[in-house]
Amino acid sequence: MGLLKGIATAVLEKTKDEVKEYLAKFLEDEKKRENKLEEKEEVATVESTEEVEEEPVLEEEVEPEEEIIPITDEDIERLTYKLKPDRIMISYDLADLALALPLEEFALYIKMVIYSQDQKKNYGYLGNALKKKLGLSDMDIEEFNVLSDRLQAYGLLEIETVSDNQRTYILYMPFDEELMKRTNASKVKQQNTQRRNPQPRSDQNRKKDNRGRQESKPRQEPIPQQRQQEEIPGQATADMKDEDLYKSYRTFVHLEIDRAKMRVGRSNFDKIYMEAVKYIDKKYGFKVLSDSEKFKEHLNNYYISAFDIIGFDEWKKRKV
Amino acid sequence: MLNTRILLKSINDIEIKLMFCKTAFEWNLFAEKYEQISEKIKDFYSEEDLPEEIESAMSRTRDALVIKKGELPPSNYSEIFK
Repeated sequence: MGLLKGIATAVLEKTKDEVKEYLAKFLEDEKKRENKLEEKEEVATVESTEEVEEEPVLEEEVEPEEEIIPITDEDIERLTYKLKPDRIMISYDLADLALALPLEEFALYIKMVIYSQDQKKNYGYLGNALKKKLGLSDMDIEEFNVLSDRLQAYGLLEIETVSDNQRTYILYMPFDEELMKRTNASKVKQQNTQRRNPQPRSDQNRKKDNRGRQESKPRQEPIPQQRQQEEIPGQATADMKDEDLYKSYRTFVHLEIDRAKMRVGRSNFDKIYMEAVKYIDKKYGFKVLSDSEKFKEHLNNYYISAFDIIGFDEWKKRKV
Repeated sequence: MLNTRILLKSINDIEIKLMFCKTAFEWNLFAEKYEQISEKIKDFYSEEDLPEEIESAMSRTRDALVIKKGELPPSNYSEIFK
C-alpha cells in the first residue's frame, strides 16, 4: 500500500509540473500574439497618418494657382483699319508688351495681331473657326481657351460670352489715328464710361457751373439708365423704335443661325444651305439668287423655319 | 446674226465654265450671262417655237448654276459686327 501511495503521489507531482509548464508556455504564446497584433496595429496607424499627411502635399504640388498680373490697363476697344495695311506692323509699345508674355501666350497674341491686321478688325468670334484661321488646327480647343483666358488675364484680350456656345473677343491694339477708326459700339462704350466716371472738378468750377445753370439754361433731365447701357447685340430695350427692334431681331436671328450651325455641324449646315438655294430658286425664281439682298432675306426666312427660330412678334413680346 | 447654234453654244459654254467657278463673284458673272442669254432667246423665239435642245440646255445650265450656288461657301454670319 505504501508503495502504491508513493507511486501515486509521484505521478501527481509530475503531472502538476507538466500542467504548470504547459500553462506557462500557453501564457507566453498568448503574450507573444498580443504583442504581434499590437505591433501590426501600430504600423497600420502610422501608415495611415503618413498617407493623411502626404495627401495635402500632393494636392499642393499638382495645381499651384498662378496669379497673373495684367501687363496693361489700357481700355480695349473695337477698331477697324481704314485700309488693309501693306505690311504687318507691330509698334514698339506693342512689342514691349508682347515680349513680357510667356512663349505660348506670346505666340497666340502675335498670331492674333497678324490675323487682325489681315481681317482689318480687332474683334470677332472666339472658337474653332478662329483657331483654324490662326493655324492652330492641331491644338485642343480647351488649350486654346485656356491660353485666350490667360491673355485676358494679362489685359490684352477682352472676352465676352454671347451665349452658351459662343464667345466674342476684342484684341488689345494701340489706336493709330492714321490707320484705324473706332467702331460705333466702342464709341458708345467710351461715352458710357465717361458718364459713369465723371472727372473730378474743383470747387471753383462747380460754383461757376452752378451760376451758369441758374442764369441761362434750365436743368437738363438725367439721361435714362437704359441708354447708358452698353449696346449688346440682340438685346432689346423698351424705348427702341420698330426699326431698331427689327435690327436687333436680325442680330438675334444671326446668332441663332450661328448657334444652329455649331449644333448641326458644318457638313450638315452646308447641305441645308444647298436645299435652301434650291428652294429659293424654285419658289422665287432664278433672278433672286443673284440679288444678294433678296437672297439673304429669303435665306434667313428659310433658316428661321428650318431651325425653329422664333418670329419677330414673339421675340418682341419676350424681350420688351 | 443670231441662230440656234450660237445660242446653244453660249449656253453650253456657261455650263462648262461653271465647273471652274470658285467664288461668289464669278458665279454672279455667270448668272448674269445666263440671264442675258435667256432674254435673247425669249426675244428670238416665241414660246411655242422654242427648240427642244435649247430648252433642255437652258434647264440643265440653270440646274448647274443653282447647284454651284449651293456648293459655294454660304454667307459669313460671323461678320454681323461689321
